[in-house]
Amino acid sequence: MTGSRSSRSHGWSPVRHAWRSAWGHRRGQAVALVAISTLITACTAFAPVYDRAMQQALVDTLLAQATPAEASVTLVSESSDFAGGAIDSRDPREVAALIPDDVAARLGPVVLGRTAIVTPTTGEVPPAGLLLWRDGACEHVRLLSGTCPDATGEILVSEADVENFGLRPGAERVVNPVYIDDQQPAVRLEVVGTYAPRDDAWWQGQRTVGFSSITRGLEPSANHDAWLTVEQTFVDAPILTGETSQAGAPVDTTDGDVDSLTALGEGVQEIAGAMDLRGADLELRTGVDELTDDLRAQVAQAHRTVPLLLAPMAVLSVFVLWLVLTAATSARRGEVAVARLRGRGPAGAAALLLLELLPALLVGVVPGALVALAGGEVVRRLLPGESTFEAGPGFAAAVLLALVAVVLTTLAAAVRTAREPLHDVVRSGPVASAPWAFGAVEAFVVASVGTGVVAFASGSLQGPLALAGPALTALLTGLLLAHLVGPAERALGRRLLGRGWLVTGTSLLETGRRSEGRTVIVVVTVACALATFSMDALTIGERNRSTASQHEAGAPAVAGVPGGDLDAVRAALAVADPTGSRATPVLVGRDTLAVDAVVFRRIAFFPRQAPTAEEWRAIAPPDDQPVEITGSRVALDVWSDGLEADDIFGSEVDVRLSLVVTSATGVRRAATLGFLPSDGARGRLTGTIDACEEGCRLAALQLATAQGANIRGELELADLRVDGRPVDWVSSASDWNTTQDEDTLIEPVAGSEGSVRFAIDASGFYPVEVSPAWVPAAVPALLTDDHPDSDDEPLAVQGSDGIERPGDEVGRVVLLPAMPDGSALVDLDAVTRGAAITRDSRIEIWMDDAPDLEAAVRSALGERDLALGDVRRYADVRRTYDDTVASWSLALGAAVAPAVMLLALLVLLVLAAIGWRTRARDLAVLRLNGVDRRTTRRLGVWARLPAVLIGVVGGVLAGLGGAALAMPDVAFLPEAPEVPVLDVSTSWAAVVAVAVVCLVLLPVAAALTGLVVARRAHVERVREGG
Amino acid sequence: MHGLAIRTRGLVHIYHAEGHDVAALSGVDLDVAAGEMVGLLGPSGSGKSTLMSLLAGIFRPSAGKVFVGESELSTAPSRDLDRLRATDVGLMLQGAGRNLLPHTTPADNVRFAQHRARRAGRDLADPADVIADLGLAEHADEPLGRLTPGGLQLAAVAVAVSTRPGLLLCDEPTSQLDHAARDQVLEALARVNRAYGTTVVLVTHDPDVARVLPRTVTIRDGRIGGEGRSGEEYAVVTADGFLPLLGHVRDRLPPGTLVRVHEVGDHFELRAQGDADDATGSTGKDR
Repeated sequence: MTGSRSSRSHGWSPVRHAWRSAWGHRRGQAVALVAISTLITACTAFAPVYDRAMQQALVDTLLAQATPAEASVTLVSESSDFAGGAIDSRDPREVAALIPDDVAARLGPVVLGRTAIVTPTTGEVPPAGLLLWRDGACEHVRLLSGTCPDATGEILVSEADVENFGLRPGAERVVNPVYIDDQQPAVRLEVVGTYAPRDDAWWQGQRTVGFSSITRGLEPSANHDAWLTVEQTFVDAPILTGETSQAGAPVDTTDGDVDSLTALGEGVQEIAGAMDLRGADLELRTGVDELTDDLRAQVAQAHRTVPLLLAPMAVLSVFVLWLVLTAATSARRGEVAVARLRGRGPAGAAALLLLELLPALLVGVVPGALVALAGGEVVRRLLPGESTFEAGPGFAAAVLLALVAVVLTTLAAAVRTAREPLHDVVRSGPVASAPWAFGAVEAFVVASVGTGVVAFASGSLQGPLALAGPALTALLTGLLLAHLVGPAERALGRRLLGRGWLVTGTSLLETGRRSEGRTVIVVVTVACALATFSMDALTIGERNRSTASQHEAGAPAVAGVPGGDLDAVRAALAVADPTGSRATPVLVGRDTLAVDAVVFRRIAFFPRQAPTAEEWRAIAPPDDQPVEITGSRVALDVWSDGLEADDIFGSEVDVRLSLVVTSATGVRRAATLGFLPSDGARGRLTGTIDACEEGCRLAALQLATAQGANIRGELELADLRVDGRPVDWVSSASDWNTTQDEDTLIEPVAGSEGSVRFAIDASGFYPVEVSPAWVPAAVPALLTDDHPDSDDEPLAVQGSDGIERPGDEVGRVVLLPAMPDGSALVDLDAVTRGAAITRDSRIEIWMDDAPDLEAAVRSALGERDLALGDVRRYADVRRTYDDTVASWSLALGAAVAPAVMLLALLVLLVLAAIGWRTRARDLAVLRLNGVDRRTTRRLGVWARLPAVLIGVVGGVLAGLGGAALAMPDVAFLPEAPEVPVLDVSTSWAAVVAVAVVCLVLLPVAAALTGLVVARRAHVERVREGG
Repeated sequence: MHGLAIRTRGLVHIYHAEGHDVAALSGVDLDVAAGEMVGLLGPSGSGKSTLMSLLAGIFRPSAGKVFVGESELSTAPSRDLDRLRATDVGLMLQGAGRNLLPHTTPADNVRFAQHRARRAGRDLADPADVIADLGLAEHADEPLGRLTPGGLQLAAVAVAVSTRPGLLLCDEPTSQLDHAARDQVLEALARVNRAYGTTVVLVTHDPDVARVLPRTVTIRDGRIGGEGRSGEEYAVVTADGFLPLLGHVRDRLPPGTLVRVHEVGDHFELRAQGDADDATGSTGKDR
């Protein structure tokens, strides 16, 4: 040896050594490290990308769902009139100048306008309606005839106005200003053409047509469509009725993103806040503030749900990284020992490890970030809207966070091994597995996690911390299983070995003895728990959105029918739906839904609990037949047996008897027959009922007298005749109801043959009625669960006339379709018997969502001068629930479940990659001792199966437990529902599916890796590692 | 570089095991002069490897002191021990593979071993020359996996001596080697000892190896049980006056035997009680 340094020498290169070691000799491990780093980065960076994509999609969805009026900002200046005169509205340009530049920058072109309400001074029924000027209006209507207004007083009218009011081009009308005097001349308007609207967005919700109509009758009225004119008409005219000027602009959706909309919302709020300061005449009309409120609320939801699903996975990822790194650094203990022996010290040894491990992990960050970006692009395409892809600062921060987590975890693992006492590091042979008994650190971890779980279960863990609940539950289960199962497996393994069960016994013993078994149990438990929880949440969300949509829609398609002619609606449906099974009329009251049970139960949605067949039968009306009256002249024999009527002063008063009838169209009329004869006398009363010429039904007998008078005694009625013909009417006591309240008792009692007799004791308010048994005395009703108990409070349901009438509870359901809490479901026939149908109830048609059916219904209604209103469809309602952040957040579960499975697989592969030599050598030793190849293969296959199976079972159970505790806090819907649509019970289909996948995928992976190791258990391997 | 002397006084090392403590060394007083080549002998579990670890600063003694050169290891800071192992003390653990970075070449291992010493300014031999000196020139850049066991052990020696340490500690350097490889390794160690005055302490079980060493120290039950010098075996009187009996004598003087020591001329006689006429054991000591 010489003391000189040769030119042949080149120095030690740690980088070259690390590169060769990692990629030349431990390529499998390096690839695994790259993979796990990729996964961690992808999961971490995907969260903000997904969040951003959701927000953008939400903005697009909200703007798409908003009406043009909601999606625009309009400042209006109103004229005002008072006793001494009137103040004109401001010039529209002045109004436009009040829109701040930063708000205007986020809006489309500002449209100036003026509006007034004008009514021609001439004509039998002069129509009222809008006179409009919008700057550039002619470019946004279809000119059907004539020319666009060009001079003062020229107007465009709709074709409907031409038809209804004869406003052909050339026609003139005069309208009055607010004040009529010599100095305020009337305004002359001349029709110069006709138009039809187009370009709804430009009109910003201003409806121009559809008003033109003439209503005849006792109070005839007429409305005209908007008349379009030029600004000069307003300028030249005196102040018109309700005159306003305005400047409005639609929200600019071309590059509208979440930041832009949020900023616009803030700007709009500032305008609203300053309105009072700028003048009492100003008004801000916009829905932008509500849109941004909705946006914020849903984004806040996302910020709860996304971490709930992704944070545990991130923690699991780091945990897995830690496990992999500790295994990797343990495998490099020999190199650490050499480094320490050559005087490197712990820092030098750690650097040696870091140089080899960290590059692979850092390399994995790049594909991880790219995967997150690619995932974001996929999500952007899947979510609704046309927003452009954005990475955003959140993405960069998340990548940085992943990078820091990877570096710190690697540093911790490297330092942990490098700082071990030198005598431990240089010790020959494999590192002894830690005992299954709790160490102090593990006991602390278990205690901490256990405390968290207890706090979570008891509800003490609230707010963002509660999001950790499911993960804590899973972790606690995994840790406890890992520590409790070990001794049991060892004991069982020994027992089985003693009985000659070599493979099973050895496998259990190995699982119980080695720390890898504990690692596998913890990781598989947590992974399966998270997969179970996320898929359960996903499915529960799907179920609840379906429930909420079904409840809100009520049926596949629902449309109102203005007017109260139930009979005509029924007739139309009989034509449109001859089978009588696809559409049904429904009477919707404030809190009462009256339905035709047979068809309704088939068409309507009862998502949480449908009434039973018995309950449906129970709401049916009485079987009694109605008394049909067809004709106009009515006669009835009356005998007032001991009947006395006195007013409050004791003077005798007359009692008037009337027959109350109802028509099929829902009209209720009382036909007066006359005064009752004196006590003991018999008489025949007659009267006229014009409404019954086409046929009607007897609804009640009515007695009327002075308010506060007393009526006591009995009254017998017989021989009802219509137009001289005897009527088969109800003549026994059982055919009539008893009327009873605190002031009145009218009770049917046995009378003579062919007559009906009533015992009467009434005082208070009149008239009083007694109805035939055909009219239900109390309407049988199905109530929602939260309806007050009818034992505590007499049940009342809303009648078709809006008046409450006694009800009779026959059952309870969770939800009534499209009805709020505290509602009742009654039979349509039952509730309309003997009652009028007024505008207090609205008639709707509930039907299948089929275009042909809808067209047929529309046509049939049209033939009866009825119209079908806006159709509410289940599909549309469902879409509004699906296109929400709540839905998209939960959809992450579909990504989380595979990701955690991938993590668990990765752990199994990495543990196999790191420990295969030791395991193969152990198996080789067995072969050397005479164990046949088949048995060693079985041993290899079964090596990790017990731990994996225990982890899967424990994980699924932990997932169920976490779900049971956490689901009530998960936001499944965009807003908290007002009715109990939420059902957070376990989705067993999802749980079983996850369990099956876990039970197949993970054990197969474990068995395959074991088989590969067993195949490498050559006898020569015994010499290794000596 | 001159060899480093070794001096231990009252060296005690206790392993703390579950439930009980085990004394691996129970008061070892050992002096090795700079440039000596000494073999540590003794049965398994006698404490040889523990003593080696204490000399290398891997363990700190439970009691007593360890001097390597001027450095007292039992209280030296870890940083100083690291520096000592980087420059002055070469250690070969049993099993060549444990002394080498895997997946590399002998030359790379030497470079790795020299790295810190070079940074400390030490002028060292070229790695190729170090390896060539051990007879591995043609294998210098071969992966370790292709070397024979003997080649691996020589590579380990090359690494251990590459910083030209003052003390070379070798634990069973010839185990699992065939005779030719064993002789190669021993020759290499002797050459280092001769050429650079490096103090060499090696642990061995092999009597053939012990025979060629100028001095052997036998460790028994955690104490110095005897010494061999040029093939002659001696008992060593301890600092507190005890004289451990040599192995073959112990068989004839079971524990509890009362022995009388007689000075007879220029030597001593041991005479067991009740056997006055028959000397059951004797040993001589130059006076």
